[in-house]
Amino acid sequence: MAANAESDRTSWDEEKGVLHSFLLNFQSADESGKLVNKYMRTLQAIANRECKLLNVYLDDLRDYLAEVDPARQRLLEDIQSNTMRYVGIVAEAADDAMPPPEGLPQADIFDRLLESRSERLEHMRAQGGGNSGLVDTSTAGVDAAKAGRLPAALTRRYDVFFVPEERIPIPEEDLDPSSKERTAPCPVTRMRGVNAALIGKLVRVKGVVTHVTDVKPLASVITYTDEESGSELYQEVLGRTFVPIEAQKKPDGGKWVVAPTMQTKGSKFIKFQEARLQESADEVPEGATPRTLSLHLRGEVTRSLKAGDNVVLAGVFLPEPFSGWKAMRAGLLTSTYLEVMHVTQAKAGYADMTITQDQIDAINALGAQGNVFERLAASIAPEIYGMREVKKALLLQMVGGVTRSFPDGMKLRGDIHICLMGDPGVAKSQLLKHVAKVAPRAVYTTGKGSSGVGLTAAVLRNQVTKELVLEGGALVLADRGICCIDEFDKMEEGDRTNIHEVMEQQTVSIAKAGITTTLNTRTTILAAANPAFGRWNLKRSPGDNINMPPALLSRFDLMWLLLDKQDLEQDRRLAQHILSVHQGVVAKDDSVGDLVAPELLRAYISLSRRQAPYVPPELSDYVVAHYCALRQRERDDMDGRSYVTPRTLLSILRLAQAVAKLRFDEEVSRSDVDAALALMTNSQASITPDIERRVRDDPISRVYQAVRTHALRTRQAEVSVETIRQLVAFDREINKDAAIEQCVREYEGIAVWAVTRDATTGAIASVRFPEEDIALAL
Amino acid sequence: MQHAGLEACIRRPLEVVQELFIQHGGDGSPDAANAAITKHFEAVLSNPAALQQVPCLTAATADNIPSGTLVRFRGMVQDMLNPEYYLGAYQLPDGGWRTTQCSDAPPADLAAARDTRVWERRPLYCARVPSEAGWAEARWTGLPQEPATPSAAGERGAKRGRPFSEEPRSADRASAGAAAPAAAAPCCAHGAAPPAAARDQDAAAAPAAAGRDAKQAKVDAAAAAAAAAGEGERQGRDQDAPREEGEGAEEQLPGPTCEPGDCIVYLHGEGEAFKLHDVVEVVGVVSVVPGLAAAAMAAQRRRAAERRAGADADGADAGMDVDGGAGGEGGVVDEMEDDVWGEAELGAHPPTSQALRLHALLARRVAPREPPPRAPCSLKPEELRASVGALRAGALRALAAALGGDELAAEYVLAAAIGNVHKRVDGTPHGHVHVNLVAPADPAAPNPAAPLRAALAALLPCVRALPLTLEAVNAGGWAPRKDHASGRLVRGVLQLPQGAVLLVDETGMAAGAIGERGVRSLQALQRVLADQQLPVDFQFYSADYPLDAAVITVSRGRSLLRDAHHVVLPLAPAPAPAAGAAAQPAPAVVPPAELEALRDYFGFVRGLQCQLDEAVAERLAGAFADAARAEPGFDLDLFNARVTLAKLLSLSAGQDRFDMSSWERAMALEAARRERLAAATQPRAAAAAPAPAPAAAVQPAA
Repeated sequence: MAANAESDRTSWDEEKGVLHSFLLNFQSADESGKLVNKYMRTLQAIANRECKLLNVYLDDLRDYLAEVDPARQRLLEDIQSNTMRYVGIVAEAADDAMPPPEGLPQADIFDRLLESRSERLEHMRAQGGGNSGLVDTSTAGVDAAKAGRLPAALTRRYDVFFVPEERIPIPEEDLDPSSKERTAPCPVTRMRGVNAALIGKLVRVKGVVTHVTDVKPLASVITYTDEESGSELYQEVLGRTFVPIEAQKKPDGGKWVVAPTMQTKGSKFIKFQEARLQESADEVPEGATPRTLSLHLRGEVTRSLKAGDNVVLAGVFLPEPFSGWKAMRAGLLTSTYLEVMHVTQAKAGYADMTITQDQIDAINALGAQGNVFERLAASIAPEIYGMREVKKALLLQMVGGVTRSFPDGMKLRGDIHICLMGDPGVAKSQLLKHVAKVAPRAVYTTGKGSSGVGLTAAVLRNQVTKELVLEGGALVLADRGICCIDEFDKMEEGDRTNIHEVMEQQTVSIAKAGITTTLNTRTTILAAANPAFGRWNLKRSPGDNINMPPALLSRFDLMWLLLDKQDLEQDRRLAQHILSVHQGVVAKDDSVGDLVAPELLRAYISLSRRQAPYVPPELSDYVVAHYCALRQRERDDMDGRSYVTPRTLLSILRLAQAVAKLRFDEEVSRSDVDAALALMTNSQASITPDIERRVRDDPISRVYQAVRTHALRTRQAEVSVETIRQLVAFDREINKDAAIEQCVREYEGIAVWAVTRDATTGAIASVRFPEEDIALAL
Repeated sequence: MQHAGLEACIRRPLEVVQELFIQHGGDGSPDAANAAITKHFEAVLSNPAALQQVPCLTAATADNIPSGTLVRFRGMVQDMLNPEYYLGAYQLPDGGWRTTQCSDAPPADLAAARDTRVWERRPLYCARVPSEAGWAEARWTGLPQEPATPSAAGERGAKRGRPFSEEPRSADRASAGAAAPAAAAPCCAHGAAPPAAARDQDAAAAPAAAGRDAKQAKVDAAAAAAAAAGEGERQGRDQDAPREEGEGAEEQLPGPTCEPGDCIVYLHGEGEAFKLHDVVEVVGVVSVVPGLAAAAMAAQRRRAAERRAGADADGADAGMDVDGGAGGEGGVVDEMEDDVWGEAELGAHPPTSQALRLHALLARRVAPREPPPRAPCSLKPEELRASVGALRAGALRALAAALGGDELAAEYVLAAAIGNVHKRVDGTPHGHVHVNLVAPADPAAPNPAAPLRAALAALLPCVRALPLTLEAVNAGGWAPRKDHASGRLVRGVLQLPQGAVLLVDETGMAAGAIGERGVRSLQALQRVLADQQLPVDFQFYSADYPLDAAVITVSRGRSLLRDAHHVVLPLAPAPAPAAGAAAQPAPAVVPPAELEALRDYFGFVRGLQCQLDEAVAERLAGAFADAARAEPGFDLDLFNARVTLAKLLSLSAGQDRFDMSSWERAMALEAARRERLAAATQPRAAAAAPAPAPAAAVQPAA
């Protein structure tokens, strides 16, 4: 026994020496880049009574040992497997290394007690003997070295915590020679992985804090006064309970005649808090319920958690074994807890959707295959056949444009609002429900079913505290998400005015029961409306058909009219789709290849939302030109069917930004604007079917469309004139050669493509699009 | 060492485990020994006859089985608790290792142990598989079915759940929940002092309304709940906190309860990972720990004392506590128990009188559509396959008799009962046909809910009846919720194993306000209907657990859960025989032999999967086009529902290959249904002729 104690003592001293030199000598760069002794600075601050916390970073220790004393590398592992022992060693080392305080700190009650105690101890020792000092309550007998001294725990004013490694060195075989990274982030242990094998070790877990108790004082050193000799006795308390000193033997082996009195005023108490951590939602395997873990926080780590926080904790997993008669009651049970050493708040925020590396690889692969825009759009609600353009617009809506706020307070919204109108039974609701499922944050509601409260917010009275509380309705809940509103036309007037405000200012004002405030609702609205007369009346204007005021109509960036056409082929295809589900076969949409899985779609959208492309100045002319053309066309129509307002210009920009986001590009390019304009034209065309025909009637546009689609599909910038002739061969209404000639010439004039002519005859040989246009377009 | 025989395994399993451990577990690690133990028990119990000899652990038989016997248990996983660490192996001074696996009491030589090892075990909180009738359990136990008299159920409940005569705290539902059956049983009428929680009517209503397995008519439950509340109020006046706290108590949600038949199963070692709502069959060692009951009692006393102290402090002129509010009974604070048994521990270790404890040696997950165990008079599989047609007709007869002679409705109910989720596409489940049976609005007409429930319960192994009344809805608690104080999931009515049938009874619904809890309960029910997912509230996030339950709703008039049902069918019971004709007694009772055959039929048919191949799919696509032209408003959803119905019809005939005849039959059924719907709305239109265009208001959900 004694030999063991001896060897323990020597290894204790050795390790203490190593840690002492570490604290004294470790240098690291501070904020300004200078090398300073990091821990000496902390110790100085502690000595000056400015700080009470000593965090020992194991990353630093690893680096120090690698440089200075490689033979002692095992110390790191030892600390990680038996942390509590090393807390004591580091505390002693820090006490030894503590520099004298700069300046004269203010003496407090602690100092005065300390002074009087030291005096008394000196006095007793001078008088020879006496039983004061530390009383060791372990059964191994009093440690002679410690008797007659104040316990270190009583005099120490700071807490020592270990911060586990956050970066671990990459092993040799995995080192990537191109990058300079020598370390990789240390993975967090899953809460399910914390089991009996990790008892006593330092672990890092993440989770959600469920509840936190109040901070209570926990006794750490109890002070007694011995009536007989007038001396003070100290008892260190290491667990949650202690046995009072009178139940134990005296240091010299006898029994207490008169029980010493406990002095609570002179004892040392530390802050103590208990909490409970619940497994976070992404770590719970399917079909299982989340686990919980008890936490104990002591000293300076208290008050760093509150209920509902997402945190990453570092701590020691310890058992709390029952002893004595508690063991009889508890049987064989051991309760466990995590003694917290370090708390990091996880970054809360909307982008909580963690995207795994696999998904990023898959997204890159998707980009390499090409035709991304079409494929992603087709993957939205694949069983609803057709409606390509509508699906593209929905995809852009989920990605959203870029919100900009100017220093003078003006804000440009980046949300794209879409309204779908049409005959009943055209699967509008299904489309909405699908979007609500795919979009990372969406709320689905019906205009009729929700009251104003449901859509916006309500003031409620909290039963327990009897105070008024604001509760958000669907629109507020969908903050930074999509609110899918079905049966838009059936909403009440009051709600409709609320929607006005939400759509433009992106706030909701509430004035109820004495509370006036505005809540942020940066939502995107996807509305589905039924026409006023049951079925769409083609003879009347859209304004008449939809029961909505033009002011509201103009706030929607895109509007589509989905007419129910009796189409046998379409019916058949829809039926096939349903039946393929029943058969158990994955649906394939032939023209665009495989569809994208919903998870990947969600990940793609989530990732693309984080981009923020800007519009380069040279593009502005192009946009303005097209906008003017749109206005011109509307003026020519003169029947008020579409509402092109200056808002439309912003819509074009937003849509173009959304397309650029999908391409993960920082700059909006011309093909993006083209795609946006195509969508706008299509949307207007759907409302006024004759515009569609007129567009189609133009042979030059038809030729151009054919050439461009071919180039995009084959990803070749150069299209020869034979190919052009083939493409328009089936189209009976074009006078082929003349049309091709005219088309090529016109578009060459506005520099859409470059024409190569045969050197001798001067006839057109091929046209060439600019490389970027084809490569970048989706 | 020869293998211990069956007798030794059943009577003294702990000794067998210890011997095997000594043989195989050299250094105190559990793995090798666990494998050997599992193999040995599997070998001994491989014979089904041997398995039958192992006693079953149910609420009724638990009292007669001594602690430490090998038992078998079957239940549904209702909750999964945190893993526990316990002292698993210890080393004697002479160097040998001993284990304490499967037992709860520390052995005598533990004090002298040289070294110990901490092992891990995972507790699963299992509840009885919800069913309205006990025949499935009877088949599994091999014992005769318990007579389903209310007094027996009430007595069982009373014996189970009234250990303490004091009034339980509102947060500790352990006794309140178990006492409620005592209150709800008719025997409470003669003044058996039910310690029902006074303050919340909710608490009494919730377990009473939450579809207990005892056969209680809805009416009894409501009346009993009212009676219990009344009794409780009278009784608990002195303990009643001031009024404001009473309001607060309404907000305070009830804690987890223990019901008869609950069992905590401890799994050792690495095994199959069970999921929530799985049905598991376990063979293990039962253990009774009186210490837990003592601890729970002591905790209750402490809380009562605190509450009394709190109540006294609230009283304005309390001033000095003359006889000591904290003194008296709770004053002598038991020093022996302090924070050994905190809330969380008590939640994880309820007394064994309320929840049984079982240390598992063999555990197996029962496949979702496994047919129920065979009865002695069951037909052989070949015979079953041959007589499927006749059995189908018999089933239809039984269901039609329950529905007052309506055969069309019987067809639909049969199809609904066979449905199962065979695929989830993007979160939408495919394979169920939820049926809404609309009873005639006339209150004098007989209510088909109760006979239908009896019929379904007699034929299907897992049926849950959910009465939709205003009180039941407002009481809430249909979806489970995690109670962080005790660390357990508060049981929800909608926690159903895969393959259950949920019978929602809306005939008792009245007008009134629905509170917040009610809205959430209804939302949970809607999610179950639409997505077959059960949302569980973990306070900081809500997680979904997949379900597979067919839903049949009986309502007067259109169902509250509009548009959630695939099929809406007005009931047209066969007309009563003309007055004067000899009254024929309705053949309501099916003879027992036929009943067993019908149960086997359902077990067989529910396990089939219908295959659809290319050629038939082509023809169906054509049929869709025709149907779209023939019927107005025929859209994708309807087509989907009809294909599912056709598949289920072919399954009910025992065929697992789809052919067009099933489609024809489905179309015929649907045509008949549409006629009925039109006929049902027409008289209403005729009656309300003065009101303009009522037909437009009533949309047939075709």
